[in-house]
Formats: sequence, C-alpha cells, structure tokens
Amino acid sequence: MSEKRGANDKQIHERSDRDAVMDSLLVSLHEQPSEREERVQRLLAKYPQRRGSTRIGTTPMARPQGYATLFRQRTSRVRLVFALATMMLVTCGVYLAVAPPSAQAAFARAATVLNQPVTRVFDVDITTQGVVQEMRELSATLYRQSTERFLLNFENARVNPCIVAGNTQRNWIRFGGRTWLSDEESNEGFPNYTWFDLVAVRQLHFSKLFDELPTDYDLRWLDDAMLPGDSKHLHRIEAIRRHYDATMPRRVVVWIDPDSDVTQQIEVSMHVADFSIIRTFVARFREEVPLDESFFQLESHR
Amino acid sequence: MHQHHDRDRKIFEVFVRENEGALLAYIRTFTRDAQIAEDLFQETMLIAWRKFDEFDSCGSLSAWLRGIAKNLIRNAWRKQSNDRLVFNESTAIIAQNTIEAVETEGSDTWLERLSVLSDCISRLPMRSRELVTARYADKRTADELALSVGISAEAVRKRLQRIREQLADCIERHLGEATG
Repeated sequence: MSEKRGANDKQIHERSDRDAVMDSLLVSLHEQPSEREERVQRLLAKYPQRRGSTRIGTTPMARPQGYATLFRQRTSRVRLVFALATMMLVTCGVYLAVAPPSAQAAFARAATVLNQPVTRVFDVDITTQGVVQEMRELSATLYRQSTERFLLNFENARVNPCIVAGNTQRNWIRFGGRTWLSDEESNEGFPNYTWFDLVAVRQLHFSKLFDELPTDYDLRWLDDAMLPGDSKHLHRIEAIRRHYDATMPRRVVVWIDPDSDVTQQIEVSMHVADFSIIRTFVARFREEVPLDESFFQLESHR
Repeated sequence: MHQHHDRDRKIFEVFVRENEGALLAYIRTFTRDAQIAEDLFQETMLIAWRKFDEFDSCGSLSAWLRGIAKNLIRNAWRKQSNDRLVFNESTAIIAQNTIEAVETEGSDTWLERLSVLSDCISRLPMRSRELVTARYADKRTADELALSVGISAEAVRKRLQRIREQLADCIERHLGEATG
C-alpha cells in the first residue's frame, strides 16, 4: 500500500517537473524579440574585460539573497597570464575558422557573374512556418536578368499571374492579375494569403546580400559538396549572421559551381513579423534563357 | 589592440546570442522569478566565457552551459531556502532531456529548434490555442483570464496544466518518431 502511494507521489512529482519544463519552453517560445534583444544588451554591457576580474553586478532585488556574487577575483598573476593567452588563442582560432578567405573570393566571383546581364531562370520554393499556423509552401519561377530586373512568377497563387518586380532603389513594385502597388502604398489589394511580403522580396536582391555575406556573417566553407539529385561538385558556403538584424536573413547557404562561378542554389532563412514566423527561401538555378527587356515590363503581363 | 578587443567582444556577442535561448529556458524551469532567472543566466554566461578554455570542444556546448547553470542554481538553493527557486535533481534531468531532445532537431537557432513545440501548439484545439496565446504571448494572468473566460482562476490554471501536459506528450511523440 505504502509502496503504491510512494509510486503515485513520484509520478505526481515528475508530472509537476514536466509541467515546469513545458511552462519554461512556452515562455521562451512566446518571448518578444525586443525582450530578447534587451536581455542580450544587458549582458553585453557586462562584457568581461580580459584584464582582471569582472565582478558581476546583481540587481537590487537579487543582491540581498546572497547568491549572485559567484565570481572570485583572480589574484594570481600567473593564472591571469594563462587566461589571457588562452583567450587570445581561442579568439584567433575562432576568427580564422569563421572567415576563410577562399569563401570571400568565391562570393566575389559569384557576385560578378550574378551581375552579368543574362537572364537566368531559378525554381523557387518559399516555405513559411508560423507558431500556430500550418506550414505554407509556395512555388515560383524567378527570371533574373540583372540586379535591377527580375520577375517572380507564382504558379500556385490564387491571382494568376502574380508577379513581383523590383529595382535597386528598393522601390519595389508588385503586380498581379487585379492590382499593382508600390512599396510606399498600403498592402491592400495584394493577395496576402500568399504569405509573401517585403522581406521575402528583398531576399531577391542577391547582390546586396552577397556584399554583406563576407563582412556580417560567419562563413563555413565546404569546397566539395553536391546538391541532392545532382552529381556536380560544388562549393557550399553556409553563412550565419553575427549580429541580429531583423531585416536581414539569419542564415544563408550558397552553392556555387567552381567552374563557371554561377550560383547553383541559394537558401535564405529568416525570422519575420513578430519573430515567431520563419520563412525559408530556396532558389535553384535551372537555365539561362534569352529574354528581352519587354518581358520585365508590367504591360507584358497584363 | 582596440581592434582585437572589438573582435573579442563580437565573438562574445555571438556566443551569447547562439546560446541564450536554450540556457534561459533551462534556468526558467527552476524559478518563475524573471529577475532571478536573468541573474543566473548572466552569471552562467560570464563564467562560461571566462572558463571557455576548459570546455571540451568534442562535447556539447549547451550541455556544458547547463552544467554551469545547474551548479549555480544548486549553490543558490543551498545558501537559502528560497521558495521561488525550487531545485531538485529530477527537474534538472527532465529539463536537460527535454531541451536536449528539442536541440537534436538540427536547426540553427533556438527558436527554429522550438518549431517542434510550435507544431504541437498548432495541433491543439482552437480554444486551447487561444488560451496558450493569451497566457504566454499576451502575458495575461490566470485571474485575468478567469474574468474573460467566465470560470475560476483555479480552473484556468488546471486547464493550462492539462494543455502543457498534452504539449509535453506531443513533443515526446514527435521526437520519438524522429529518432525512429
């Protein structure tokens, strides 16, 4: 009898533990990006200098409880020297690991090729995963003639054709079967249910992204990779953004053909809206086609 | 020298941003007090940064951080019995296992890793989803929710507890399927 009660107590106890874990995960999931950012900034303000002992400031509320002062002041000079030397080694190691010069050169070459006035066709998949919404997927074809001229044609959007165009001044123009609007105007009239917004459009500005990749991202270089279903040997460069910027992708993966320097695939993922929505954009190179400028005019698609 | 310091600081920032989500979720498991949780989080991060050379690069960085946090929480608990800070080994094991399981999802940010939980929320009935949103996104208390829903605060708490139980089961099921 008492064994059974003991087992029940244990079960109840574990249930409440599990509840605490779930509560914590739910709090984390629903946190606002601004709250997270403020917390990070508060910690960064306490960045420990290499020289000597940074005392950890505690909040007025926590200090009387006596647990916050957990750092011991380093008194040994020898330990300090060793600590500094190790930190410098780690720093140099991480720096060399995150910024391989060959990746930067590959980006520079790929960006040059990307800017050549040739219309390249990419197959595009846009995936959106929200917190409470089901995942939505869109397929599209991207006709990219240059930095200034490209069209994105959604095959499975309800308004058909639904095309987005843009230019380097970021005066993005959207047009579909019924309406077209500039960026400065409201979104009214644009098929919102396609889950397509400005952020996704700006991701098409590959040249700007390529400019920022070597400077604002940590790069991981793999010089012999293959895309699924393809036997071609490619460079694969994964880029993780160093500093949070709501308007820029968090993670980018670029696949470059080392022979032609043509970007074979680019994968971009970023948080949008309230940080709870993750959008992934994958553009895979299909072919080069001769298309004249009229193809990139609104009138051609009315 | 100045440039070196800046670079060092940037690496520290990346280190913080990459790890803050999972670590804070772990710490929050032991205390509902946001201020105490943040203090413990800061202390863990700063100690980890200082002891970074002791980290075995073959091991899991987030597990190492949780180890440091666990010691801090245990020390704090020993120093005084604070009812807002409840530490016990079984909670630590469950939290460690759940967070590790979520982390095996292979995404590059903590929020992406939490997509398992997002997926489970999306499978809840509409009323349960609304309650989760009201409690966690809108940060409404059980008393406030009781007024708007028209039931007692205790009933709201119980309902939320049942939802969390469903979500925990869902995560276990999902990760069980993923690991085969």
